[in-house]
Amino acid sequence: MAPHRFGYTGDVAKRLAGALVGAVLLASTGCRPSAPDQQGWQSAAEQAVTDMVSEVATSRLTVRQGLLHRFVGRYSVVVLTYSEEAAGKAADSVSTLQPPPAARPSYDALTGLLSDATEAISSARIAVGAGDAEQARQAVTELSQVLAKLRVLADRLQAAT
Amino acid sequence: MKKFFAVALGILTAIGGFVDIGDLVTNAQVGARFGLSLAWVVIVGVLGICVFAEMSGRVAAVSGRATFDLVRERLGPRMGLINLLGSMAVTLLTFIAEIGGVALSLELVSSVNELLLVPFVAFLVWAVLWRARFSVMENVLGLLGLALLVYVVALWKLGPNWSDLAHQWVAVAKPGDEDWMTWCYYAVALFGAAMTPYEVFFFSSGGVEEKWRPQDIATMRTNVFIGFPLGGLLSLSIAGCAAVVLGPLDITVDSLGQVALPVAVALGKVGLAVALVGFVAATFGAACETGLSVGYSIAQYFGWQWGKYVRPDVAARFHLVLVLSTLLAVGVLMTTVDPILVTEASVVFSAVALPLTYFPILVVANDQDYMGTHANGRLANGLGTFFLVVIVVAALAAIPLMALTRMGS
Repeated sequence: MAPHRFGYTGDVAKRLAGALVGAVLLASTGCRPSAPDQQGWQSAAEQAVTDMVSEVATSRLTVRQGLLHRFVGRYSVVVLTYSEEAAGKAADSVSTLQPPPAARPSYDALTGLLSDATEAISSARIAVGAGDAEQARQAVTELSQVLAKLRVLADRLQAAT
Repeated sequence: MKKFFAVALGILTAIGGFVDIGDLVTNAQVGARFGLSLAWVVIVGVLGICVFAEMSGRVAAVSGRATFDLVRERLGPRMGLINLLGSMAVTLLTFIAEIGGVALSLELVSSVNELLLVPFVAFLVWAVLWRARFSVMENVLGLLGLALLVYVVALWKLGPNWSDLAHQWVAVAKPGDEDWMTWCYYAVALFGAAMTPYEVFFFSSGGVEEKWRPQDIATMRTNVFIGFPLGGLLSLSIAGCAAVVLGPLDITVDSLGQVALPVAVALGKVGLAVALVGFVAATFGAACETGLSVGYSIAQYFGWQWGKYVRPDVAARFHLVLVLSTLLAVGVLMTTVDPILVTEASVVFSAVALPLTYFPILVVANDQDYMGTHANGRLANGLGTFFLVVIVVAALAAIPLMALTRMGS
């Protein structure tokens, strides 16, 4: 086989070119949001809502127990901070996806609810961190409201799969 | 009387030292999601660890050498190397998880970010491994670990429906919204957490460090057969508390702070403070044990001087391994990897590596040349073989289940 003008054999050059094209394609798809099919979207949405229910329920329990003075030091703030981070990840796990056409009508409602839940946890963390009992009680109410909505959505998603 | 106190101390430290970060997290996760439907796995795991800890302790007492000191000699360098690589990799992963667990526990107390605490914790662990006497380290941390008995009190105080809990346990009543594949994944994880390989590394090497003799076998057996099952009771209490408080609220455990919430609900500030002392002691004790186990296994394979009773300048390579593994743990944790995720991975990979750890113990404990009249009898071999079959099934199922359930999510 004749050597390639850059010193490679043609076969090796083709393989190298193929690898480069593959790498470019991989890099370009990596920059785009992931686009799951309907089943993948459904699964991601269900997981995100289940995770969010857990974080909101943890936050509500923590704030309620905090109001009863059942924690030492800043334990409650640490727990709420972790819940806030986990809630953010749950919200991002669907908001960064490209929804399939059939799911677009429900996309805004879903991401909106997850965003509201994350904000409710943040408000709770701020109230507890500041030692503001009135705001903390208000946060419990908000968390309960958003939790009820999340549970309805979780049931609906579970029934659909 | 002195003998009685020695036995009592051994039992108490066996109870207090039984739980580590893997047990804390996995039992709470399982309790919150599956109630007590997986409690039988804890019982099987505790019985399994009792059988193999007894064998490795007996080997140490009779031969004066740690089990894995004999593996290379008995099974050859190739099998010894496979055993070393598999078991040590898991022990190193567990060591990283334990140091992360101490940092997370201290974060709950101090609210200082765990990343800032990791180097401090690692230095403290290394300092204890370097300077503290073996017996002091084991007894102090083991006794402080008894603080986790607060979970037993909390479960009683929560006043659960005991018949409902018993029904979940006996009838293996899985919640309807969970699938069997995920249930099996957590069964394997729980089994891996109960039978972590480092426990026998540490137990047999510790026996050599404390110069056990054949006349100490009875005491060793008392510690194992009373202390370990009572330690298992702590695991069940953690799962029970999570099942009663977190499960009905649909809380899935993904942070250490959630693990202690049921204690705060049941017992308030005092209970929570005691639980946090237990967290720090259990994870710190396990960090010391896993750190030493990494050093033990490498030094024993290569035939280096090892142990805390040997002067550091004589066992320089052993202590160098301790320093390097501590630095590696800090390096991994400073990448901001979630210590809970490391813990979850460590218990599953523990299950994968179990045959590499426990098969050689069964072989060595059967060898008349080493064990003489103390070699395994029919009962020990029957139980050992039964648990080895269970271990192989768990090891083969671990990775496929992890992939199929996306780590139980």
